[in-house]
Amino acid sequence: MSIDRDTVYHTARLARIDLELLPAAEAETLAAQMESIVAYVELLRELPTEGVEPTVHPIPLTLVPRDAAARETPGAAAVLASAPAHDGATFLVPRVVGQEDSDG
Amino acid sequence: MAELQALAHAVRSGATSALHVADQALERAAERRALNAFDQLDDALVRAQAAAIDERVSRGEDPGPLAGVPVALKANMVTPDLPTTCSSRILQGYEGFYDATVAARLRAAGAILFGKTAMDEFAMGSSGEHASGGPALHPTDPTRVPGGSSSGSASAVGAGIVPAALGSDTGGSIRLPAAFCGVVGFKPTYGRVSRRGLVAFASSFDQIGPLTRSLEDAALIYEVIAGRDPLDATTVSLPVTSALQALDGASPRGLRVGVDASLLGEGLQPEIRTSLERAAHQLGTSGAEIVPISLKMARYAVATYYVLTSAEASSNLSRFDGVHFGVRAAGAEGLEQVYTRSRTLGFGPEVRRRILLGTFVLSAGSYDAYYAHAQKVRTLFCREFEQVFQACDVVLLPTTPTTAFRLGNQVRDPLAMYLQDAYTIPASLAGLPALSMPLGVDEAGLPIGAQLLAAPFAETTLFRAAGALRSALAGAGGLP
Repeated sequence: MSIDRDTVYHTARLARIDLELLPAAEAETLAAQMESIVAYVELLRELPTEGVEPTVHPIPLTLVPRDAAARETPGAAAVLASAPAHDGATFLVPRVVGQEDSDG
Repeated sequence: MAELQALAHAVRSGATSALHVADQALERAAERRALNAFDQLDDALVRAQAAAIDERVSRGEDPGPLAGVPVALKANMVTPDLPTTCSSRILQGYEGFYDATVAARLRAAGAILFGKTAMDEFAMGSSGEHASGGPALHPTDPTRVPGGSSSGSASAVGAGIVPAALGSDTGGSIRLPAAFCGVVGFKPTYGRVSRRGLVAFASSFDQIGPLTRSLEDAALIYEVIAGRDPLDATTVSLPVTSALQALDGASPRGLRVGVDASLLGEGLQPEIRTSLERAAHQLGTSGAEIVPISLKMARYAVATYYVLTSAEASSNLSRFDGVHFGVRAAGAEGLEQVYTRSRTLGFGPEVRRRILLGTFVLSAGSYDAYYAHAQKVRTLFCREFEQVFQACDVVLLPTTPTTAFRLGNQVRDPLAMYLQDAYTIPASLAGLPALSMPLGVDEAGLPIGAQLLAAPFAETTLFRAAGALRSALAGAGGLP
C-alpha cells in the first residue's frame, strides 16, 4: 500500500489540516515527503507477526483507582483563562446551529 | 564531581546565597543570549525564588537537597508562572494553571526553576531546528545544531549557563542533544517519572529526565523527580533505588557489557566507532566482561517508532484546535475553519508531517497493515532485549551516528533526520532506562557520546555501569 496525492489531502482533512492554506509548493513537498516516508515504513512488512501480541505499553500497567472522595479542583475560571475566546464560564466558538451556510 | 550537592550545601550552610548563585546564572544567560537556548526566562521570577530560599535558610530551615540550584525546564513542561509554548506558534503565550509534577518536586527540593528552554516543536525533531523561536545553537560551535528535541536544555547545560536542566525523551530527545553537546543525558525507565504536566507527544514513549555535567548530578535530579504519582496512572509504585549510591565506588569488575559489533559499521562516523571500540576495550582491561550480542531488530527501529509515535501524536495533538488553548487563527468563518486555520497555520511543517502520518496509519484502510502491525513489532523489540539482558547487565552503543551537524544540513530531508535517532529509539520502544555520557571529542572538537542501556527498572545497574565506564576511561587517561 502506498499513499497518493488524493489520500494525502483526504488524510489532512481528517486531521483538520487544510493543505490549501499552505503555499502550493509547500503542500506539494509535504505530499511527496509523505509518499517517501510511507514507502520507508513498508520495511516492517519483512517481519512476521502472526501470533504476536501487540505492545500497548512497554511496561505492564494496572489500573489503580483513586479514593472516591471529593477534592478541590482548579475551577472553570483557571481552565478558561488561557482559552482564545471565552465568556468566563464556557469556551466560545462560532455559531454552528441555525445558520444557513455554516461549514461542515 | 558532585556539583549540585556542593552548590546546595553551600547555600544551605550560608556559605553562599541562592541570590548570588541565581545572579551568576542570569549573567551567564545574558552573556550567551546568542545561543537562543531559552524560550522563556524571567529574571525577576528567578530572583524571587532565590530570595525565598535565602529567607528560609536565614530562618534555620533546610530547603532541601537542591537548595538554590538553578534547574531549567523544557518548554513542554507546564508551570503557572511562565508560558509553556512547546516552541510552537499554536501555544504562543499559553499559561498553564498548575505545576507539572516534576516542577513541583524540584521546588519542594529547593531548586530554582530557571526559565523554559527552546525545543523542537512539540518535541518532534532531532536538531532543535523545528522551533518557532528559531533554533538553539551548539554551545561551542554556533554554526552547528545542539541536537533535539531538548535542544535548549542541552545547549544551556553545555554552555555552563545552568548546572542542570530537564528534558523529555520519546525517541532520543534527551540523549541525542546530550551527546552532541558533551553532557550527561538520562532517560529513566518508562513509568519511573511522572508525565503529569508534560505536554504529551507519544504517551507510551515520553519520559522526563535530567541533562547535567556529571553522572552524580543526573543521579541526584533523578532521585528528586522519580517515584509514583497518583496524578499519572502510568507511573509505577516501585521504590526509587538510589542511583547516587550506585555510582559510589562503581567498578567494572564483573560487569557484563553487551556490544553488537555489527552496529559499529555502516552509517556510523568512524571516530565514534573508534571511541566506542576503545571504551569497550578499556572496560575489558579494567575487569568487565565484554559479551557479544546481536540486536537484529535494530534496523527496524526507526520505521516502527515513526508509525507508533506519529499515531499517538496525531491523537494527542487533536486537542490543539483553536478553542481550548493557545492561539485561534484569524479569518476563520465557522467552526470548521477555526479548527483547520488554527491547526494548519499554528503547527510547523514537521508537526504537520507527523500528524498526517499518524492519521494515515490509524485510518480504516491502513490500521492493520501499519499501526497494529507496528505494535506487534514493538513486542519483538521487547522480547529481544529480554533475551539480551539474560546474557549481559548493560548494552553499550553509540548515542548518535554522527557528531553535531551544521544547521540546515539535515532539515530539508525528514527521513535523513529520522535516521539520527537509529541508536536511541530501541530503548524507547522497550521502555528501557538509557543514558548518554561524554566519551571525548572528534577531530573537529565536537563531543562524542556513549550510550548505555539496562533492563527495565535497573537504574542502579545503569548508573553503576556508567560510573564503571568513567573510571575505566580515566584509568586509561582517555577522558577529556
